[in-house]
Amino acid sequence: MSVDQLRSQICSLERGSLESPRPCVSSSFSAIDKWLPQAGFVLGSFVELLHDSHGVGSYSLALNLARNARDSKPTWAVLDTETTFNPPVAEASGWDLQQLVLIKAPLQEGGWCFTQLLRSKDIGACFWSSASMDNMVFRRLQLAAECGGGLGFVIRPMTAVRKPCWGSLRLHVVSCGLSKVRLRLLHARGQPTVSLEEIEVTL
Amino acid sequence: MHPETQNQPVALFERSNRGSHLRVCSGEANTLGVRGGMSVADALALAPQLLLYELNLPECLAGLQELCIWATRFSPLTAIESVGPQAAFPQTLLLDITGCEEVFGGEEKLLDMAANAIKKQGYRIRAAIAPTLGAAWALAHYGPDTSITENQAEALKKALVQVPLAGLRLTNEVLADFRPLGLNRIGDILRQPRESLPSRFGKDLLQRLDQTFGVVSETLIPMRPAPEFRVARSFEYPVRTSEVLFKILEQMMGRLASDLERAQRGARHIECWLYHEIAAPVCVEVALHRCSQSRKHLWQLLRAHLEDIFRIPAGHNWKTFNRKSAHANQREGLSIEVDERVEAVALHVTVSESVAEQQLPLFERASDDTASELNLLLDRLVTRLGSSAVCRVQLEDDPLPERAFRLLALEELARAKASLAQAVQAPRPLRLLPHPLPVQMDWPQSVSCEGGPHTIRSVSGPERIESGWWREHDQRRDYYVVEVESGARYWLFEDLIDHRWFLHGSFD
Repeated sequence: MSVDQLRSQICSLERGSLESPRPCVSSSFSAIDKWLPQAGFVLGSFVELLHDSHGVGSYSLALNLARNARDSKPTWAVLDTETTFNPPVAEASGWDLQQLVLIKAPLQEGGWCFTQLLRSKDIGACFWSSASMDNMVFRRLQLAAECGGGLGFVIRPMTAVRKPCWGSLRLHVVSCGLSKVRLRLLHARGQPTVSLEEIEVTL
Repeated sequence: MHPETQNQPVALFERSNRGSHLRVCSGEANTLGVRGGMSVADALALAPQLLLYELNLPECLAGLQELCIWATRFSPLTAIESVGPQAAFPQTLLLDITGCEEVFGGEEKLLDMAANAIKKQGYRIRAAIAPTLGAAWALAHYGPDTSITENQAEALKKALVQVPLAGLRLTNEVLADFRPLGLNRIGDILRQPRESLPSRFGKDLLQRLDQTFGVVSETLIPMRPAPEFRVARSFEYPVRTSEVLFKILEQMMGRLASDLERAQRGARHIECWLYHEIAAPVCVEVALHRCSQSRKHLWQLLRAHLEDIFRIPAGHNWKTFNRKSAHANQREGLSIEVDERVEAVALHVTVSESVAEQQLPLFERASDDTASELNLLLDRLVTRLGSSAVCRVQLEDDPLPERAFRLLALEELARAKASLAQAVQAPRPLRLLPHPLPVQMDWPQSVSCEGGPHTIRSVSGPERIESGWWREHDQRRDYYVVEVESGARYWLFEDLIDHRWFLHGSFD
């Protein structure tokens, strides 16, 4: 490979557009798809959702965003380091509990576990909500997601906004009524500096 | 027998679609009128002091199997009852002591020694010796406290005539046919014309009678301890590099897999021992959620674990890494500086299971990969976190939110029964606290929870949830969905017994 070719490849990577595009799935919300360079989530990536507090609907949003990732890989996983995940509600939302792998791990093992889940080629979507996460873990998460080809969703408090974002998308989630959330785009890979657009979606 | 339950009325119950019913009761429970088959509610109404435990059949069976292997000190042929209506929940150990009595000074002495040794382990037992398996079973379960050490038909008949018909190991359906006819004991049946028995009560009765009285033989299928699988290798010169070590371990794993395959068994737990020149031996453990005899699968799992362990963590130098040491006081992973030179290695399958015979693929060993990526992931997680950390979910038909589902370890899933759990109707939060948190409530203006006081913007509810009165702790709660000024929605309840308020979850 020549130096020019290498330079071109590096520029493509920095822009977030890979030479061989990966498959995409819609987020189920056209307004969110418009934020994404390929009009959908690129499989092999993870998404960060930040919230100011619990109870705003961020996890429910994550479940909604991940629906289409199940099409080719029905197995999904939840890393429950806080032991608060309530499976019956996920089932009522249309997620098959027979396909769920639920991991109850201590927080210090969270990074390793989620990396393993993302790296698996058999898992379509995986979720992790935690008040505290080691930021060093996140670089490995992106590499693991690219290896596995699924979608990962990480739900964190808004205090993490100062930390670098390694995911393909970072959204700030605010509740605006029953089953409605307002989303503010904080980061989208492949997009220039965003103008912090906001949209409202109904879950 | 747990020390807490000694001399207490105890019962084991089983959940089913029809509710919870007792399966086994202690003698103390029986004296209070509690019987097997009774519903839990009825049992507690009769005996409120009854100690209830959920029956864990696999654990019970595993315990009995261990005891069966242990009992080989009294006879080389030991077994657990595996036929008849009792086979679903075996509670009987069978020992063929033919020829063994001379070692122990006679049959009576052997019986006493075995019974006392088992009692010392905390069990309550009834034991009997008889010339036939069926007779010994009948006497141990229902007979007088006696043994028939003389092989004489008359002595056998005399001992068994008063034994209830259930001592013949017949099904409940067959036993039910005898009661209206006033036939309750084995002696009653012996007085009936033999040729009329099959047509009136089926062939099983005659077979059981003949087995009990030695007319036909009954085979005892002895339990054998699981075979051991171990491969070890020592080196003329200690191995210094992980690459060489891994290559050697991979070859050893291949041999182990071949041994497993020949024995038609799969590994569930493997120990990899590394013996150093100077430092203490180190053990790396691999656990699988499903048994496997695939060389590739087992090696990938062990290798991943070794790589995790040999990876240099931040803050350590190249010689320092987390390891599990063989010393009892170093059971938790410690960062210790050790010499890497390994002078011997061993692979030991500590837990194995029989695998069903599998049809070989048309092109044998084309891929040598009988395990999917998912199985590999699950095994890796189980190895690192323990089998209880990797779960599947089973919904339960219980109104209490915290009991609306059960987490099953992967190996339990196959035995789990389908539940009639109903779909959630009322709103439920996706985030459910494992234990409700008390909160300060200024109803309906404000609530203090999750980091501070919140002004309540709107409330919906109440939704009343009550546990059954037969539960040990009666729960009566009124749940509310509370939206605060920030837009966050919390699931709170008022305990109707003491009128305290609790946060149980949030609508994440």
